[in-house]
Amino acid sequence: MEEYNHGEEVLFNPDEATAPIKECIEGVIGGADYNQNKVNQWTASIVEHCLTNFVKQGRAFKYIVNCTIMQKSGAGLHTANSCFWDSTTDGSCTVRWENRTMYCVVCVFAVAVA
Amino acid sequence: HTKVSSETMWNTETTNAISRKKIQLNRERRGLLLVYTSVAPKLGMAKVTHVDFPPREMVSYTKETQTPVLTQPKEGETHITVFCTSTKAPPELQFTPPHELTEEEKLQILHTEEFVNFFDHSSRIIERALSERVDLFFDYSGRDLEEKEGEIQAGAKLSLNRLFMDEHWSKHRVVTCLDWSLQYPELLVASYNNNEEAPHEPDGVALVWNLKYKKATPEYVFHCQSAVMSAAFAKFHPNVVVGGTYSGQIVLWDNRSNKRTPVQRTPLSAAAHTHPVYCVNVVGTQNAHNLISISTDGKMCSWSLDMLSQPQDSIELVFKQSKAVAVTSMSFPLGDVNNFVVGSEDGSVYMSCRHGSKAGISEMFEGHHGPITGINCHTAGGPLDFSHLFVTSSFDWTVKLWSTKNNKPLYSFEDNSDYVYDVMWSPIHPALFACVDGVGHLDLWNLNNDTEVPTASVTVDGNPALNRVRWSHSGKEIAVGDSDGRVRVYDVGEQTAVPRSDEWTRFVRTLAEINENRDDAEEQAAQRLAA
Repeated sequence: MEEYNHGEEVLFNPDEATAPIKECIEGVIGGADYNQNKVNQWTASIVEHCLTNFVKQGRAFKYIVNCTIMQKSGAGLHTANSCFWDSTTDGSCTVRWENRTMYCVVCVFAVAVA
Repeated sequence: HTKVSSETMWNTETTNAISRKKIQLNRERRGLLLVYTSVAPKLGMAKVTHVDFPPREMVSYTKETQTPVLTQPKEGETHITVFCTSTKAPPELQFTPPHELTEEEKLQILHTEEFVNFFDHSSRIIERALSERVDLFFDYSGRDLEEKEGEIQAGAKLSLNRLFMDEHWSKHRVVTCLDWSLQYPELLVASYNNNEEAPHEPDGVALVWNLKYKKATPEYVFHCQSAVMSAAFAKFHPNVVVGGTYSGQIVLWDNRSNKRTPVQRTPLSAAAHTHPVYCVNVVGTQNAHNLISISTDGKMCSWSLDMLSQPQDSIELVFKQSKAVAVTSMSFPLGDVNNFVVGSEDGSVYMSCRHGSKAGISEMFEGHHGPITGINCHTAGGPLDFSHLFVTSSFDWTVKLWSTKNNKPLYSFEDNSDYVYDVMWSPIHPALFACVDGVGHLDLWNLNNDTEVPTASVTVDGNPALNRVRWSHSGKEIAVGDSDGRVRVYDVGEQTAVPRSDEWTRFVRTLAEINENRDDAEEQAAQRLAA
């Protein structure tokens, strides 16, 4: 078990979180085209990297990372989510990314620990 | 591993126990009664996060007509009443504090039709105001002008006035057609084909640009599911823009509706067109007009603008009962609604008519060695009638001048060194026409001055292929569309654009000279053959 930095503010800032998530997506699927053989590897690695990124910050949060990759084929995609939590400390961040052949949506939820 | 963790756990427990002990000791030491209140976390619902990727409209050919669907207002829609302090409050100040709108109420208001209309209308006006750059320091006495070097372009023949380009809608698309509005001379519609870099965006886009204001965004944005190959303002309906698409569908946009998608479409079936429609035109008069469209399989349909569910009339343009003509361009002479000329992919021009016993193609004019890209009939009205003349441009690097009375070209302009993509007569000057080619040249030819070289020429930066050229109805501006989605509007100098009173008679002489030279050349050629 790691020691938490109790000295820091226990508050999740969604705006600050978008940048590392985007970098993480770019790093994994940056210049690639949709490839059915690799897409499972991609989702797994995006989720892992995002999660380790947040955990490394060492803050007292529980994280849930969700990644969706959809091929651009003309279909529509619509999702929604909502939460019941302490809005002063908890937060979520959704990042949408696309290139010529696919869409990628990553949602990170952070729930404060005690 | 577990050993370490249990150790650290024990350490944490110990430190926690120690700190608790410290607090207790502190309390005892200070002798204060600290009421240890435990704050239970306050839980609430978070806002819903949406992710929306709209589906892409697909082109599918059916035998049914597409009628516009009217949406009925939902039963029992809640009305949003915004509370505010009543202005009719009695002087005793029955002060009811304003009702603070919740987030949901605010969102609901933002989506009501009245708000959307108001926002669209007001943002348009503010955008125009913000883009104006008025020179407050202009000194009419001209003292300032002496210091400025070479900024006065009074004598320039062709100067760039505006460049229209939209990052989202026109980038990576080719300009396929241009048309000026008759009722509002500052409006120009440009149609674009599909954007290969963004396959999810609509394939066909038509933008209405406004020359009057410095606003850099289009006045109206219209799009549809198939690439738009030709577009025109409906001459007698100032609110309507007609587009002919790659799928053969003809679409009608209306700027009175707040929709960017077409309000009317023709059916995608064999009754209408199933090949790309490269030419659409509204011909006739205010009370009796039709929309004429020709597709590349030679089918010509005439439509009524009120009812696009089926054509009023259709003809197959075939030459000598066998070959269907692959039409790329068409033109109606001034004032004529029956006879017209079409240019085709095989390099020939065909004369045809719409009505009568000989409806269809009557004559073929050969002369070009490559597909014809543009054709335009003489339209400058004046003391003398030259409406039998027309010009054509082609992939064979030439522009040719023809007369409907003669099935061989009158003259060939060979100054270009690339495909010539479009040509158009000036609407006011009888001897002036403009042409554009694939290496960025816009040439103005004044036949009364010189028939060997253009009178004025300008090369566009970057040498993009210039696809379309259109004179404005005033004859003083030219719009040029290129293959990068940019539309440039050039001002033509007064000296060049405006005809003098003797231009018509001079043109008669020019034509006579051209004819003489051609006859001489033919005679000499014949003599050489005989000898």
